[in-house]
Amino acid sequence: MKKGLVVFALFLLWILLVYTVIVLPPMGSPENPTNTHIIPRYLEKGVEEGGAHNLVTGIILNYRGFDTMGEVTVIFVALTCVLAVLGRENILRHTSKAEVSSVEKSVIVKCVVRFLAPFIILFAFYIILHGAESPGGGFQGGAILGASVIIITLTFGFALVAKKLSLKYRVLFESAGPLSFFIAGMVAIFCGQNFLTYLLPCVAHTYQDFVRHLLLIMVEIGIGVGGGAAISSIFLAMEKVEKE
Amino acid sequence: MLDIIINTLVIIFSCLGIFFFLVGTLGLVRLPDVYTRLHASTKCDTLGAGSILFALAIYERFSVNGLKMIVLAFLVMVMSSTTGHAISRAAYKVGITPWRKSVPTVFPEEEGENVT
Repeated sequence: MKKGLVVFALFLLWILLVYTVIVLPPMGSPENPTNTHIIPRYLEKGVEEGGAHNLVTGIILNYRGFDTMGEVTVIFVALTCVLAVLGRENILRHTSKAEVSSVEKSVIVKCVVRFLAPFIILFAFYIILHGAESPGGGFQGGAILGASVIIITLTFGFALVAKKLSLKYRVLFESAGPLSFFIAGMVAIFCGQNFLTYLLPCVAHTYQDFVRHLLLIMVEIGIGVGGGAAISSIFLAMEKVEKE
Repeated sequence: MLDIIINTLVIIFSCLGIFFFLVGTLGLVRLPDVYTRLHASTKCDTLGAGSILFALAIYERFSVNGLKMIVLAFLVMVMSSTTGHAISRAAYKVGITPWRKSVPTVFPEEEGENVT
């Protein structure tokens, strides 16, 4: 009986989904709304309205600001769920799986990582800050930042990273993504505009572009630092084992 | 004249890179175990990508973009050889025995072990 109900509900869902697929506009047709007015608008006015020379950044932060804010929140929620299940690491109580293993670390790898890690972090910040001008942006830079923390943890040990990047500061950085979006949105509201509008009317006309650029860069930094801190926190939470 | 020299060098270096990529991929498919495969596939990144990037740097005549290519080639060489070292070392410490069919007289007590 229960099984039959489940199958019936799934069948209804299937009909609904298939119906949705049928009434979708045809793939690649030139009459689709995306092709008739959205893409030309993005291509013609995107740089001017989006406020960034990199059209992709202009679109994801300006036209689709709410969507990107949701994505940043998704990363934050993922971090929250991982920490709710696994718990925070504690330097006094935990150590890492890599340090428990009997194999000592290779001198060559240590030396190369020591040489390359500053360049990796520099490159991550370059990508974050240059996202408005060239390919790149907060998400990509944040991923590189997190990867640099992971590689340092694997070669130089859990204790060093957990001490240098202590919880006190990481807690602040983790929420930087949603917070920076929120601040940018609230600034717009206080200036009498809609949420997440970067072109503020209360600023003198000649400085509007500059202020918009600053806000975009602030949001990019927030996404990057928040994403990097989230990745490194998830990694540290998964890496920990109890000290004997 | 200079154009001819530069183009010849570019063609030589990119052909060298393509050759190393081909050999590396062939080795990755055909060789028997981890160590020999690593031996082949790290050549792809170090020598293959390195010489193709060097060819691009010559093609740009060592302008700013060309120097970027040189830096990239250096980074690729350092990182790829380090990862090769780390993987082979990990494989050795985990206890994967090398393929020894080709030299049965060197290690006579462990012959015939073939872990892939």
